[in-house]
Amino acid sequence: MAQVHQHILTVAGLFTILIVPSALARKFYNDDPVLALPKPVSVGKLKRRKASDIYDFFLMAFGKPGEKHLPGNPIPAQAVNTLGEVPDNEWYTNRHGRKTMSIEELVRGPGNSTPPATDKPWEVTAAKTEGVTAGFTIRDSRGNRYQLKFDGAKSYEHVTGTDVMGSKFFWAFGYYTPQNYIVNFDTSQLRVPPGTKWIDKRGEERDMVQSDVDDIMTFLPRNSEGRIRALASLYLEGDVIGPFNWNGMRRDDPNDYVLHEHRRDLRGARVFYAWTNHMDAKSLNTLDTVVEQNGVRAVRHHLIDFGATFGAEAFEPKSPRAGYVYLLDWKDSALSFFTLGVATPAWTRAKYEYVKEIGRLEANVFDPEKWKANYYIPAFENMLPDDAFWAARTVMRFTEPEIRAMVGTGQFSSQEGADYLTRVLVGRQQKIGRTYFSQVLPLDEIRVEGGALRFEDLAARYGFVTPRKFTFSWSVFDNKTESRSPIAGGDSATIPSSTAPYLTVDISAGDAARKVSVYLRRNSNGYDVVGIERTFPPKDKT
Amino acid sequence: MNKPAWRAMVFGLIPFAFALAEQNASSPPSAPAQPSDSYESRAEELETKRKRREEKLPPVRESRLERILLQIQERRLLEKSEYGWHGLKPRIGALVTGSGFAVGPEYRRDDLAGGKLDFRVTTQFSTNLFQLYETELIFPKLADGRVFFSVAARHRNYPQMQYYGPGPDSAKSGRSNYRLEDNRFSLSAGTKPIRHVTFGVGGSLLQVNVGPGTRRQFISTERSFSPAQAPGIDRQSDFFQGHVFVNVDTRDNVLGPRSGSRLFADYTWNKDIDLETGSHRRLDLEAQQYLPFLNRRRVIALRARSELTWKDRGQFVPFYLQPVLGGSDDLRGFRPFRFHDDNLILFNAEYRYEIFAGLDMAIFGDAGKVFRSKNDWNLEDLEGVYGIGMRFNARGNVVMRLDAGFSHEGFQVWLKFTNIF
Repeated sequence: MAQVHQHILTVAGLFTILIVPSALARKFYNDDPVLALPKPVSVGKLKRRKASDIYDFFLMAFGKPGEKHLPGNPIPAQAVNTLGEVPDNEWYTNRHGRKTMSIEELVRGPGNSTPPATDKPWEVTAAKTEGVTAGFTIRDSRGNRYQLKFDGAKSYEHVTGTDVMGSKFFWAFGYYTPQNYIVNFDTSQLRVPPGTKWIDKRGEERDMVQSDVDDIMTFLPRNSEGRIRALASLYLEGDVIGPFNWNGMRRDDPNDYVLHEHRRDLRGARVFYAWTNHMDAKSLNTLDTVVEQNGVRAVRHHLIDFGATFGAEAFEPKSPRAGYVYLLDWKDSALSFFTLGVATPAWTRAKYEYVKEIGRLEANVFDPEKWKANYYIPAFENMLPDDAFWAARTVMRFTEPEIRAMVGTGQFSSQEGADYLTRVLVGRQQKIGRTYFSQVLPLDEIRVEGGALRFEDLAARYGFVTPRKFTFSWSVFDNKTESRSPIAGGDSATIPSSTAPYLTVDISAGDAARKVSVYLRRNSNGYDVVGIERTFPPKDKT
Repeated sequence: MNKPAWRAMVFGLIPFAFALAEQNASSPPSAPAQPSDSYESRAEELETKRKRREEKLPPVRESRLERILLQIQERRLLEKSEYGWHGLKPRIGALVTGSGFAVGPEYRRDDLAGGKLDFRVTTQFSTNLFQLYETELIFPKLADGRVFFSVAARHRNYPQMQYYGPGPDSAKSGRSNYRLEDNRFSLSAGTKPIRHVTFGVGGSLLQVNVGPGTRRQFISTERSFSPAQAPGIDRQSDFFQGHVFVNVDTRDNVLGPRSGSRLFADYTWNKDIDLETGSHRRLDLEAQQYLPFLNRRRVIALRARSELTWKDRGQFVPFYLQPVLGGSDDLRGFRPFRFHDDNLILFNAEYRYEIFAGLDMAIFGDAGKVFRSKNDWNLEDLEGVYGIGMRFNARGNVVMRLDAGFSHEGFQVWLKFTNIF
């Protein structure tokens, strides 16, 4: 008897453990969907992290770190709200992807009202010693600090032009980027104040002298007026604490609690990087700063250094390999090795125009699914179709006039080159939309209007499919148990007559594997959309 | 940055395995899920997650290996090793093929007179007791970089130079060795009047001494070959040398060309001022052409070279000044210094194909011959070589080459830290 009693108690206990949590669970809160994260926890002084690009390359190329999807069991993106959107946060701010920016706003980017003042010479405070392009750190008469970078002889206008363009594109996508300016100046604009230290090519620290600057400037290409063109990048606001990794979390930041390889804003960034062919997606091209806003100190995460976007690659036109294979790509290397180079991947046959003017970029061979950064990036590898859709939707919002205007910020002297770059970006954009809008059911702008559910089929809007019919399957949704009770007759976009606090509808276009589930919450006027989920066929992401 | 970069890549692979283990062990998990009904709102849930994390922040850990690499970068150790301590550093590498491993101190300053003056003193000794003493003073960028001028002095003592006998029919089994000892004092100047084109003139005094070779496995040359077979083996002389050269170079990258061409011609007068028997004139010609395709991922590299000498009646070209074929830079399937004669002609062709960003493979063929009479300046009876090679590069510059060449005399494997052409 005692044994039976014990078993009953055990079963009751198990029942409690199983039932009570689900009794406590809730899919939606009253403040869903969250469009902006609450105020972050204020941080103290954080340790500055330095990173080695050699270490980063080898770790990523050979170690492939980060949490990966299991076969048939992908890990959904995190740091998203119930609509699948990324709330404004310290990583990302919804800009052109949510509300169309004007051309003026797109061209302004993170800011265009603080170029280096030219009323007095700029003081050179340091020489740039990282990366492959020459440069200086300067301070202007207003006390603003800038990083100056120059083009190489074989890539005149490429680096400076694309760095400005890249910063504005990524700002429009939603990321934090620096203010970049193109400046043209004479050597007399640079002055080395006494006491400026620098490390020369021998690795020895000594006082910098004016002739050090003059020596570097001697080899720089000049424009038709004999002036030197440079990129001036305004120093970022806040205390610099080093780059972020594309996987893991920053240990001393309490606001960084989502593994980076699972953040939608970082996974989906792969689409933005592919569009702009920004293959240099290494950790060192990111930068965290601690910024104080409204009395709260928090880490802001930036993307920096866009000199390897579009057709440029530091001191020469972009390599034909860039974006198609890793720097160290075993499969491609083995194919070339064993076939004695006879096997020629499609990218070796890609055609480029205006290479001298804008570098190498094309749209014919480009395949968004196959695009690769220089090496393995954990967040990119974890991108799922819904992450890609989130980003592709933003890419498709750019119109050709907008793209053209942003290309114009690169100030390329060849109009034909700039026109070609615009055409290529439009071509790549179309491929992105066509690819990623076919992997999910690309419904957007889902809303309730006039007692019915309204939405846009982005694939049809952009001409990738002909307008199609949809099926609807309505249910009453229990927010606590997450169970569904089908509503008979609910087979159109019209919201069924119901007083249930939550409804849900599954929308499909004939493909059961790709559907959109929309959750509606009752309010005083009827219902509003509180949640969106997208399903897609399983894909082995390991 | 070439050798250091390559070494860092290869020898860093093993430690990175350990670094990866360290990285994976230290990756923090996501904040754990909590029963959601504890919260009234999503905002409260998010705030609680942050506060919970703040209470249990793990300590910041850095990879030891990354710290070491950062130290190397921040302390500029690679640059310091390249430029040495105040210009003083070890010089490492073979002197000529067969000299063995060579090392010695070098003092070099390229920052004198505001960068206008480059001064170097080098001393090297090899495991086979080869010696080199050299000093050079260069003005590389006079007249806005259009003019260059240099003064140099050199003493060499190479005790085991190879000699197989004269002409294309010398026997592989006829290997001998001799000591070559010379002093050379030279001046040269040149100008680059327009892009891609360089002219130059030079003069030098060459003092030569030849003696018995010290390698016991091979007979000493003077015991195996008569003065008729090895002209100058019995008596050596001093020479005044004057030369003019022109170089037209449109290669895209001299250290790793994928397109363009190079044409080079050098005419030298050698005046025997001592014995007056070895005076001769020499013309060196070289043409290179690079044909890229498939977006420069494949390159056909072609080279043709010829060295021709003329002498007056009663004169001869000393064997130690004769054109030579055989070795890592010409006929790669033959031993170094395999063929000596008054003239040579050489062709190299390579099909280079990219494996990945840092490595190209090459399939090559070499053909050439030495000959006595100008009537033999043709394509007949060329010695042939075929082979395969690897070219490791850093940012397009070839930093190391591994070639295997095959000929009817066997095969040779070459590891060099320069490109062939």
